[in-house]
Amino acid sequence: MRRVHTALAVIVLTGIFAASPLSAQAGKKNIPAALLGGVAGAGSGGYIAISVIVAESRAGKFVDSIDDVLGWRSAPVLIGGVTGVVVGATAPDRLLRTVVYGSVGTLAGTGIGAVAGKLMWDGPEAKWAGGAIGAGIGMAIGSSLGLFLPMKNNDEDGTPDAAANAVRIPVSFTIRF
Amino acid sequence: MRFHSAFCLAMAVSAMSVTAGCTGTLPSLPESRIPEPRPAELETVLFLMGDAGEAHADTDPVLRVMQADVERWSSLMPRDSAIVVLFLGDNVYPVGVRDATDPGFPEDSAKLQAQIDVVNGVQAKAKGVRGIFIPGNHDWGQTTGLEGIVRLRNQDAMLKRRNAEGSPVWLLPVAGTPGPHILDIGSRLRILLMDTAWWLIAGKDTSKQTVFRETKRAVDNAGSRDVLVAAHHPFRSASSHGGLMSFWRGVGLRYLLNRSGAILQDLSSLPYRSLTEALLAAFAENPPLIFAGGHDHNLQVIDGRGGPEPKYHLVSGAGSKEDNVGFIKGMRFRHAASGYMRVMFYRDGRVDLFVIAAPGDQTPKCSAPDPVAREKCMVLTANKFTDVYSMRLK
Repeated sequence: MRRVHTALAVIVLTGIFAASPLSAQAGKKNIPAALLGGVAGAGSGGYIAISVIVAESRAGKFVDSIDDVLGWRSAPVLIGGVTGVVVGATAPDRLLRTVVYGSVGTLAGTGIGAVAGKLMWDGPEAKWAGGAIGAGIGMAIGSSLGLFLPMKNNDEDGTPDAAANAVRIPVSFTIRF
Repeated sequence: MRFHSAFCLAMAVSAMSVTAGCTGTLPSLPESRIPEPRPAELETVLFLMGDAGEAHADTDPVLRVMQADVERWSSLMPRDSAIVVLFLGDNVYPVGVRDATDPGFPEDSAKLQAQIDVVNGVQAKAKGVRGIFIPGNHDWGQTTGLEGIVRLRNQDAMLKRRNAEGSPVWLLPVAGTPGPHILDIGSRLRILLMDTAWWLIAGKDTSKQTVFRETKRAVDNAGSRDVLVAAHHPFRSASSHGGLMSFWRGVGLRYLLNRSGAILQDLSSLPYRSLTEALLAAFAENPPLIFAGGHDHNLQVIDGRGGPEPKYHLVSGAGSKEDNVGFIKGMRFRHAASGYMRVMFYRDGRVDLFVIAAPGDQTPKCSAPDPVAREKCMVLTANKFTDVYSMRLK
């Protein structure tokens, strides 16, 4: 349990340190967004980590105690936390959309997963396992869509800014001579 | 603005959730006290203490209290070999007894010695009191395979050395084997000692069928003896391993992993469930009177649910740590402070249970650096231990 607290402390400190220079660049009003982004990102990563652990357990590989959760399995928590801080500090609206999409994905994934788990496995933990796995998948899909889909920016008068909303897809190819 | 509204909403929801999680109240349980039996009526006295692997002789009063209790009953009991002290696993935290060359070995040895000394008193030795150590998951070093067996063998080796020096202590079942080891005490009691940690880490080991058959045979041919199954892992529990914990413990991770059956040491994991299902099948025709375990760090008395289940579930895992305890159907008693249990078997077949514990809801420790102050604390705190619950089991 002490290791869990240590990891959380690392995430929070990472958020605070990462937010400081970014907020100086993007304006002090983004500090709360960066902090919330860190917490939300770490939480989202936690759900994804749980879904990985639960999926492993359904395959017969268990963690012995909560302390074993740390290690490579906790990577999504750290990645999510840092990503959340950066997005919160630089693009609060994108963070909000990511949180909303991620939450919707989590809820949908939980429901679908719980039903699927109950159908696939026996025992009282089946629906929870299915729900946990589904939540992680839903969270990953929802958050990714919220994070990577282009934002719709409006001009002062409310009309869409065509230049800002243009979807840019970098394409590269190699020509061999 | 849009962001700040969402931020405030999230904070409000979180605050409400935290408040909701903290205001749950547990149903109160009826008190029960029965008079202490007359020694002449007794045939066997059994002490149950689990998870004592973090207790130190000079800082944890519970071991001193238990040793005094063992001495007292040793002097009162008219016959020899009538008292057994069962240490219900996790005898050495955090990773069992390490190799003699390991820097952690002296600390591991001291922890085990503190428990050995419970049966080292003058009266206990004179009356042939036995101290039995059952392996728990921490005695396996929280690991599997050969490394775990080595940790158990280290513990076994130390107990054998002490045994050769005159301390009546054993590790049972034999290191690395699942049991059940049958211990018939007097004419009325059969104890089945099981290494349930073995079962959880054995995967699909084919010898599980043998364990099942041996367990069934042991309960079926017990005759008129009361059967008590002793293991580290409890059959039922209203504490964290049983899934009763605050959602916010470990920021929800612990709760979700428990519910999903992903933690091996929780009752909800598939291997643990296969263990209880196999035991239920073995108990089908002759349910034991008592299933005693530790694992969760508190004291619980729970009624069985009928059918093949043991009639009573005892959780005595408060030897050196404490953890909150909730409520499940059939619960008769709960206490989250350091202590132990004493089960008393009468010549005429009656069986009484006494729970001896510290008051309050924490494990008292005397950790003052000054030895005189520490000793004063030990004496004062030990005097506060009382019989907090007692009932007739049969």
